[in-house]
Amino acid sequence: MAMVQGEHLTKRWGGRDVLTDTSFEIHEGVTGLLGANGAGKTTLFGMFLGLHEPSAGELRVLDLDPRSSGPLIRQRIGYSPEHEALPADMTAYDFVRHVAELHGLPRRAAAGRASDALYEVGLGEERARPCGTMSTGQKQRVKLAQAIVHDPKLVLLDEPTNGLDPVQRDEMLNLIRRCGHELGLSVILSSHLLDEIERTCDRVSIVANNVVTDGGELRKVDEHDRELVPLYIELDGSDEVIANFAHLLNQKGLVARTDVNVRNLVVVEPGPTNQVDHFHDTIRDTLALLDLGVRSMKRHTKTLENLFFEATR
Amino acid sequence: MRPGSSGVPEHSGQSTDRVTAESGDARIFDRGYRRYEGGRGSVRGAVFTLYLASLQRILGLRRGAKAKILPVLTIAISFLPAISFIGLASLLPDRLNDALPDYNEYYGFIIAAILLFVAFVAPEALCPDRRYKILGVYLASPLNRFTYVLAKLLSVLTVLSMVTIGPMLLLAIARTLLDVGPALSDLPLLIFRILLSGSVVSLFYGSLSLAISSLTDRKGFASAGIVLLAIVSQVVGAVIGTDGARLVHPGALVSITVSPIELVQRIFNTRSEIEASTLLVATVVTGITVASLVVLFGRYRRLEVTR
Repeated sequence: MAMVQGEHLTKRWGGRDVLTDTSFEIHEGVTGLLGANGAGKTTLFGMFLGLHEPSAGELRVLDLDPRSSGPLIRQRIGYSPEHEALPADMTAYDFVRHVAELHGLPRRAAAGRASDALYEVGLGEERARPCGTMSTGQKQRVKLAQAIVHDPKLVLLDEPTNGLDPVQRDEMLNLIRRCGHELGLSVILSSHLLDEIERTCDRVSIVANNVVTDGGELRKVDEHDRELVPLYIELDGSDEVIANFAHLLNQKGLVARTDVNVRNLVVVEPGPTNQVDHFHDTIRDTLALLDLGVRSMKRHTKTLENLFFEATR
Repeated sequence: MRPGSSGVPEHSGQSTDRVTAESGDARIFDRGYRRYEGGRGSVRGAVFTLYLASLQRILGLRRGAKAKILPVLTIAISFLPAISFIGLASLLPDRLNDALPDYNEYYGFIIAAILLFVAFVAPEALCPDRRYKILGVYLASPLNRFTYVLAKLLSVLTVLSMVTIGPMLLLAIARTLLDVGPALSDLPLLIFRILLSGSVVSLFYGSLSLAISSLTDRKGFASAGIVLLAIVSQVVGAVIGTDGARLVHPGALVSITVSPIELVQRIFNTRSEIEASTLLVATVVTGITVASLVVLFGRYRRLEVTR
């Protein structure tokens, strides 16, 4: 299901175009919104929340129009802004409970869920501390807790690792991944850091050059986008046997070729009718048939860096 | 609740914990985040939640002792004259019954409390949310810019009404009990006048205070702005509205400490020295109130919140 859909979306902001006639979909799961600083990620979040209206085009969030159903959408969205956004003299528990009540939870349920959310982000023992006395890492966790406390359908996290040291950053990314995969929340994580998105997200959307591009799935590329994942097999044998190996694979429906630049290398891709399991079985059986040794075998998946540079080119 | 704690439950409470095992007195709760299947409130509920939270904040509840000083002082100053008069009048009925102040005169006693609240307490409703950048979190809830400001305004008006209406009602009850009050038949009109004058004064000062507070995220700057406005308008009003030693010219109405109190005089149908029609007085007070509301809501309509 698409959490967010944009159709020919245009947004002008402060005299410049942030988005120009872009169409995109963001689906369930953990999605990274990757873009350079100033690319328009925060503006896009503002549009998802109904805080900024599109200059042209259609936007649907949770299958609703933010212009007419803003409050209904915001009731089911959790948002953690980029900046600190915590009241210094309020305890973490009071603040998270308050946000839960604002999102429509009854007082009693809000109180219980505030504690649960703070436990979930690892602040169970610190929940009675005023936010102003917390470390940057703890503050980011409080922001995450207030974004998930009301069981939203979609969580928007704007640069949630800002100001964190490497250890805190690792912990925060693990927490975000947990939110998406164990707690079953759909998350859109905005970041300008490639590795952060790569480590945390299932899919990526790239904001660059005034358009939002769907970068596809990051980890399941081999299952769903087989043309992107040729298998590079370096063999131990004569040129003739290696050519025969490629020939046999082609006969069995795979697409295999020897690499003219690298000796002993065969590049194999699934044919149009191959199943993934059959693909691997065929390679194994053919290797065994020809009694060929394998020096190395590796996939060349399309990296996020490739995707980002393609989108920004 | 944990004894002596700040109101934080020891854990999430039985309302949300699932009991996974039970044996005798021992119970194990399955703790942790889970889906919420219950009902959710409406936008009205969100406004009420913010209203209550702002009310608590203004009054310094669930905050340190320092935050409670000014709100308590404001309410004490407003009620103290009424309580003193009633106490003395009940102890010395023959001498002091006539000395009980009229309702319109009472504003002279509590104007200090009103200004204290307007300048130093009311900015607390708006400024910290922008200073700590929490406005973005609020506007990511079912609230929008209008309902956010509305909840804040209502919370300020509630406390101001405690100051402007509470002591008057106390005085009316005391006068009735001491048998120096209005006849029973006149009581509804008196209560209407008390409520109307209290509401007018509250709305005037509440909107003015929040309008100035909306222009800065520093509470200190807002307080200074309000005090400065009170002083400057008073000086200007005195210069253009004085004839000899008395304020008689309509120009005196530019003073924010004069015009609303002058309208109160007219509501209670008492004589005033300022030579202006009631319509003019009402227009000046309404004009300043509306202008303040336009500034307040206009400012929040344009405010950037996601950065």
